[in-house]
Amino acid sequence: MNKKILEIDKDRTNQFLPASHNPIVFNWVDTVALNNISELIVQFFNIPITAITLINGNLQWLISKIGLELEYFSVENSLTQYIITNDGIVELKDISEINNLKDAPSELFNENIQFFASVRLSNISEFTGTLFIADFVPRKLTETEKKAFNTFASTICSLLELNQKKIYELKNDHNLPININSIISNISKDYQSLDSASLNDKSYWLEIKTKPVFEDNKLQDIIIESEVIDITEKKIKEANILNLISIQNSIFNAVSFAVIFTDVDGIIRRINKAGLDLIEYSNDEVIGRRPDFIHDFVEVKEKTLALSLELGRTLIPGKDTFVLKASLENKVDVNEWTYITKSGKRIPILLSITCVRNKENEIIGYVGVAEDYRAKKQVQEELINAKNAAETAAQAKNTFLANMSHEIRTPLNAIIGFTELLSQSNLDKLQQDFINNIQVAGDYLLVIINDILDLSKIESGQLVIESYPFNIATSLQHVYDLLKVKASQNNNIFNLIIADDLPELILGDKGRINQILVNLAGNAIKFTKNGSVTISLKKIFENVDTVILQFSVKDTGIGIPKDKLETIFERFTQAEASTTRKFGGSGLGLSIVKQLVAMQKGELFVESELGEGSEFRCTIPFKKVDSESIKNIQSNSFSTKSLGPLSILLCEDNHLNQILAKNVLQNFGFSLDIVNNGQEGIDALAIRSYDIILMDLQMPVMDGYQTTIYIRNTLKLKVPIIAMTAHSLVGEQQKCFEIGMNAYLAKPFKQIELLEKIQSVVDKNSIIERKMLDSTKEISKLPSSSKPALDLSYLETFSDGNNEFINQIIQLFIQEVPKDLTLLEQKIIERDFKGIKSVAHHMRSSLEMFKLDNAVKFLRITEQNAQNLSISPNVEPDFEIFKKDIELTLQLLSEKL
Amino acid sequence: MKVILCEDNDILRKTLSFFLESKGFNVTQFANGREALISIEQNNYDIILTDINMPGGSGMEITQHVRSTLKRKTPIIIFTSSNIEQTELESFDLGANEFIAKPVSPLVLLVRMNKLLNNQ
Repeated sequence: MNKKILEIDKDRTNQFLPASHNPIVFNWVDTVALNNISELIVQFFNIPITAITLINGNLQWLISKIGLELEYFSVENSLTQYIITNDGIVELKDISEINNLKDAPSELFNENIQFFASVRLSNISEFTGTLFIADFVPRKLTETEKKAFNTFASTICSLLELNQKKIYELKNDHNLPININSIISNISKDYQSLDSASLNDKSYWLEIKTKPVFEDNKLQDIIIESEVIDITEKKIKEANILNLISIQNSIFNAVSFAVIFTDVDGIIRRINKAGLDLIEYSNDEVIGRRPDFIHDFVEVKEKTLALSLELGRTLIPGKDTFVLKASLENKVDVNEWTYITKSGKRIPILLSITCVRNKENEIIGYVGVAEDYRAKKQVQEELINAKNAAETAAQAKNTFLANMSHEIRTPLNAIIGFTELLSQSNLDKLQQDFINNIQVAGDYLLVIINDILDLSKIESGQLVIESYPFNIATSLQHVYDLLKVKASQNNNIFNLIIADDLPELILGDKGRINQILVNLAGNAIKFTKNGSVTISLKKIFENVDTVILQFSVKDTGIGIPKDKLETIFERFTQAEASTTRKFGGSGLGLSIVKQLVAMQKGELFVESELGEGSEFRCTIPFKKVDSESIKNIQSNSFSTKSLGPLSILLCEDNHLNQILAKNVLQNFGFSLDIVNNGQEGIDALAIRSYDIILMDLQMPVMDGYQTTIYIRNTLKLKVPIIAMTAHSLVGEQQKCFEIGMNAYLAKPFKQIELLEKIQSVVDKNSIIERKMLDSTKEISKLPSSSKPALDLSYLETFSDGNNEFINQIIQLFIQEVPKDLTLLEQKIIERDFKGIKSVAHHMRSSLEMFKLDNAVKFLRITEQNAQNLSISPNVEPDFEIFKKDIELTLQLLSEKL
Repeated sequence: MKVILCEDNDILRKTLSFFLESKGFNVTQFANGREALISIEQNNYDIILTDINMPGGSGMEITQHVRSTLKRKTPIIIFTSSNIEQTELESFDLGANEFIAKPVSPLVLLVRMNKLLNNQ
């Protein structure tokens, strides 16, 4: 039986044994109360030895004892395991046998002990213990004694339970200056406490670290080590950081832009108040989501597509659409977007995306700053609408002016033309004078119409200053002659003073110079009565290629008040409102003069004294014409003979103009056929060929444009076409050239102008023909059909027979294509589909130019395959053939150069 | 007539430009979409001729910008490769007026340009 006692149920033991190993765990025990109970037990049982133990790990501590020196003993090798697994009292009545055992239980510390009884102390929170009594004489517990023993045990349990509860209360009391419970519960850790102290009226922050130290595992002696550190500086820094965070928060929420932070995955982590207000969501509805939900998906898709094309890689709509550019280029990426608010409103915004990077320059998130763009967008929209409206209005004005001038010019054309023809007939002196006057008046009327047209041209930026050689002295003499009659009407002395050291010819726009002087001198004459008007011209600077001339128009007229000198150059402004009534005039003259002078890089000055007169001076730089060119020009002067008997087709519906043109052209000895519209003209061309076609632009049935396009594109005739029009719409001349006309003549025209145009197209045409012949010869020199012949026919459809241009393109081909070839080979080797697609696409246009059909076919297939992320299994041999083809072409082209 | 020509292949661009200039057009050339866009913003071209794929920005972007942002009705002709791509159709929706398949026929180009310019 005794042996049996020692058999231990290990599983059950473990259930009762706690894990802790430290004696300090028992410092909560009310030792005084326990000692009182021990006294009571000794007296009650009349026994010399008793003890109350608590188990901690594999040690059993005697927390109250009488008649014993022992403080603890090992749980192993004791009866404890047996006691604590037994629900009742364990009583050893005859110990002598047990004492003979080799491994005597620890409880039997004294060989004289003859009696031992013990009971488990349980239900004391996490602890288990025992109560035992022992005697040096054998004895047996009566039933009453057993009952009392149990009562003692349960009393002790209650007491310990009570102590333990106190511990928990203590642990949860955080107001303790030094939290003992923390020392207890975090026994192995340092404990930190913060306290403020005051010294010399200055506050300090102290950190107190405390730590319990155990000596020899003794239960009662706990030393607490404390370390006190001055952490004032650290606390100030902390406070500064807190202030900074608080300031940043204020800024974050105070700015009127929406600010959104996302993490590196594009998830929104923070959004400021302005942002929430803008999109009408609450903070909780936004945090943790992707910004996509406030965007217009269609817009995101579109921009993704555009970005994919721009960056040459395939993107899917989402985070990358917003941040990829900012992260690739490492800069703020600003784009227009649309936010959709919770209530469904669409708000245009300007969104700036910046990457947030850490010290290692890795992206840790993104900041988006969105500006509400509604107001700006609206202003922008209004501006664009206003600009479009203004442009439409300006266009309407131009059209109106062009139409008006057309209406006036058509009859004027007849007047001037017939006057010119009349002046060439036999007239007496008086008739000749009348004719001269009609011519002067006609010219003057033309000047006024031109004024109005010019202003509209200048304002729309369409007026071009031409540059051709002319004699400035002769030109001024014409102006003088034109105005002489008018000057004498006002009883003025009219002078023209021209310096004699001027170059014979200068390069410039004669018409515009005349226009300036007619305007200035015309004004001077108008505002001067019984006085004098002087036009003078002198040279103020000359070097090898440039001469600066000063034109002056001085009068002794009414003068201009000082305060009006600034405004007289503005449109529709004359010095006095009454001036218009008294002197007439459009008020456009000076405005045109000023702009014309400026366009010729000249300067305009005015000096005037009220009642004394005015002087307008302008200085204009001109290029000089070298003597070699002068000779050429002289030898090139007009000679109808050099042109030979040309056959001319005139397409013109106006009968007067037909007669006029017929007279002029027959004077020159040209043969002329006249048709009434374009359709008739095309019919005439079907019957015979002409050297030149004169084409009116406004005609019934088929107008000049349609006819020209038909002649060029359908009949494919290169016959020179000269446009004739009274319809001086801005940009019309350009339009005529665009559809393939060769020259442009504004009606009303002078005979000499018509002749000039005819000469210019005949010359140009013969040059073109010669060049065409040359290039045909070149082609015939090319290698025979055994090699892939060079085919320049496509390139020539562009070149208009210009060999220099063809050579330029060949050089470009020789320079560019080998680079593409190497690149394509590399991309094919790398199987870089995107690269193959891009290079093949780029190269194709170059090869198409030289009609390398097989090579182009290879590129097209390769490109298409690459588009589908595949490649032909024969790509390598195919590429070799392709490469040989190109290399041969390159060789042929180099030989040709 | 002021023409802007956007095409990144040097040979094709220079050839078209030479051809158009010989027909009396005033041609401004660009090989980069973005640069072309900036020039379009700053100038009033009468017609825009553009390739689709270019560095810096596509012909699509140019078309969209001219129509949606600048709100201009400037005629736009797009050069396309012979195989029709989705992007080309999309740019038609964006407001391009004409397509010309590469290789570009100069006569076809001229006729289409004139048609658009005359409708203006």
